[in-house]
Amino acid sequence: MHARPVRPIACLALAALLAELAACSLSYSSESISKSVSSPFKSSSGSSSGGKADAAYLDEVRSFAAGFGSSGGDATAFRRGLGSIAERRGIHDWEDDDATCRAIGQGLKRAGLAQEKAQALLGELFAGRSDRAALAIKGFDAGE
Amino acid sequence: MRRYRLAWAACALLASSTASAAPALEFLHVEANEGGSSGGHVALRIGDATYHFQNEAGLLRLAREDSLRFVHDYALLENRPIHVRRIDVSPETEQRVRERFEARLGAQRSHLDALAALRAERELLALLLRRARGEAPRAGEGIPISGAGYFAPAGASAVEEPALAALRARVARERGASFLDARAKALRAALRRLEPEPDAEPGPRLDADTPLPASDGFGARAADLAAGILALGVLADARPLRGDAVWRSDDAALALDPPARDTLRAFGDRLADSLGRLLDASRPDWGTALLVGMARLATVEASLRDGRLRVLDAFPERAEALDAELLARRPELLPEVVGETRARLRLALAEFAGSGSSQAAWSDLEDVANRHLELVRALEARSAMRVQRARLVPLRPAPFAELAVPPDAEPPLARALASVSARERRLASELSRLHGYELLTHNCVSELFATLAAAFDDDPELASAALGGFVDGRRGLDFIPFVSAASVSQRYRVAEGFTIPSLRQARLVAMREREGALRVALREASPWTARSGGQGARDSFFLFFTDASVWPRPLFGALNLAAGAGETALGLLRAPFDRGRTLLHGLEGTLMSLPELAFVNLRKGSYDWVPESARREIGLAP
Repeated sequence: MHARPVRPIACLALAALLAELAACSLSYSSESISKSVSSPFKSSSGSSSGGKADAAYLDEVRSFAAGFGSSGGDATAFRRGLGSIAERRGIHDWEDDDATCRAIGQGLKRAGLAQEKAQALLGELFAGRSDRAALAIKGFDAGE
Repeated sequence: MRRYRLAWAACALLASSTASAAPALEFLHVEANEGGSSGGHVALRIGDATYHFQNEAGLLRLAREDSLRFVHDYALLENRPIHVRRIDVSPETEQRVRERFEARLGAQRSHLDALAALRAERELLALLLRRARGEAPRAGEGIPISGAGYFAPAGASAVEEPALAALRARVARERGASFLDARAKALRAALRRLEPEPDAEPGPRLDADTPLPASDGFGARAADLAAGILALGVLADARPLRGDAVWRSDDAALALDPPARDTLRAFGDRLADSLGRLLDASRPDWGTALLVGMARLATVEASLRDGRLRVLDAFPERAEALDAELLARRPELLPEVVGETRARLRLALAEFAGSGSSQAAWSDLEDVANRHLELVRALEARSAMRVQRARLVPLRPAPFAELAVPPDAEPPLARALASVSARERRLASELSRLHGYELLTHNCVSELFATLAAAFDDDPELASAALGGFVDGRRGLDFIPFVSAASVSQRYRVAEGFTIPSLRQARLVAMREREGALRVALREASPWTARSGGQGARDSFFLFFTDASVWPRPLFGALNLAAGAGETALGLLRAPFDRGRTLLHGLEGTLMSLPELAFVNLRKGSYDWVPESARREIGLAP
């Protein structure tokens, strides 16, 4: 009487078992209490103090800015892309975050831009916010 | 010179700061276990960052993890030893490899973001087409606007949010009383003028190292304008937060001491300043930033009023959930878990107080508080617990439904929908070509070595000069993690090799020293008598561990096989009632027992919960 539902279930089970043989599968999160309650970052400090917790985020900003600096592109698309990166980090207003502004300058330096070119680009990116552009230039001058 | 050892002290290398450590690349080979990892895993550690590829729903996603967190997850929770090969390199080589991995990470995220943007645009066009055809609006349809879901709907509440009322008064003082209204009218007019692109370009062929620019198409622009309109509406009405938007708890860990209150006040002031500036921002997505910022400002003000931390509920609407049954099964763990999440919350609060009131520190605090409060809520309510592996960011959406469509818009909308659907299909196919998982040809090993090779312009000679040799993860048997690890040892300039023990291994060594080998071997052979732990809820049913002893392995394997077969038989009977869960467990246990008959161990057990302090047991600082 129960044979009908059992057969497809057994097939599904075997298929799942074969999938188990695969390497590299996403480490299961929903069945581990530990992974569920642990934040995906090492608590130590916020971005403004430049702590370890933000190394990944700031590297991503530098890399993104370096790509923009070397290949050129649309400033609006850059702002939108940076907005997505900052949003994942929980920073809703990246223009107001000092560490982000400095990392943009560092990324442009990594791209090998001359200072005049970087200044012009930053002036366009931070239109109307000369204080933020100046902070990014500081990042450019300091390098990584 | 090569040296290999099982060294607890060597783990300290992982804990050391990258700033002071000599430049190096570390190839990590993680041993197999059950649970989607029976082939093992590989990763590359560069200082604080560990890069690895994971199969996520058929796509190989590059991930960057904190190196200590990686060890915690794999060696402690998943109980899998990690074999480390340290390759000494020049600072330029280390930098070159790191930048290549970062570039690929950014490029892959941009590819996935582009696909998500096309999907959103297709859904919007389909909605507009339905409206143009005169179909009745469906409940909840509209452009989803992140952050808007925290506020009460327009006209739903007569009460104003004091923080937003103050911000509105400030805007009126500085820009005139009609500013918000005029700006909203301008945005509505821009939205009406916005037209979809009927014949957009099909999109480029994807390259692993080249990011796609963020979408600035019809869907993105419409969403930006809609977000701006909603944000201005929330500010104009000083709309309060919804009741379920904020965590309100009397938990003692949320109490604010005077330094925390001072920092919070400064953070609120800075936030209010930045929100005013966002009204003039040149960034296209200022509306979403304003919505999230206003919601955060309201929680900061609520925290100051209540003297306790108040944060937004940052879990996504369709969050994964951990079974209430699973929580109930390990009641002895729960006080310790709550103790640790509470301690983390206090630490995050102290760090926020010392951070100079940064958005990043507030985000850390939001994440930690959400996880602690959700755990406590689930325990008290005996209900499922919402979980999310990625950072919790408050982005609860609400639909923007003010979508007026002229009657003659149907043909261009239909053309645009067909075009965007074709672009979406093409991009999905490109993603699959570039990032699709294939067990033998495109897996975590092949992609790790491909990225490493790309750091040297795919030139084997250049790579050999920098690393001592060349490994192609797509040739021969190098796609298998342990084979590739052997290739690294043979071909790269490996200066040192060591093994980070699994938690159970470390515990057994410590027990043997204290109690004697025989006693520990007998007691710890079975999960039913072991004190070292190691049988997690995810593990299949088995009678004996086979990771610590080689000679009895076939005998233990045979008994495990019988146990697995028994559970499978029980599963067949239960299948109609538990949707095959027991059957699947039984089959998995049976399968995992087969290699043991031939002296091969895959199954190592796992842990549901490992406190950070347990890192000491394998030689890491907690």
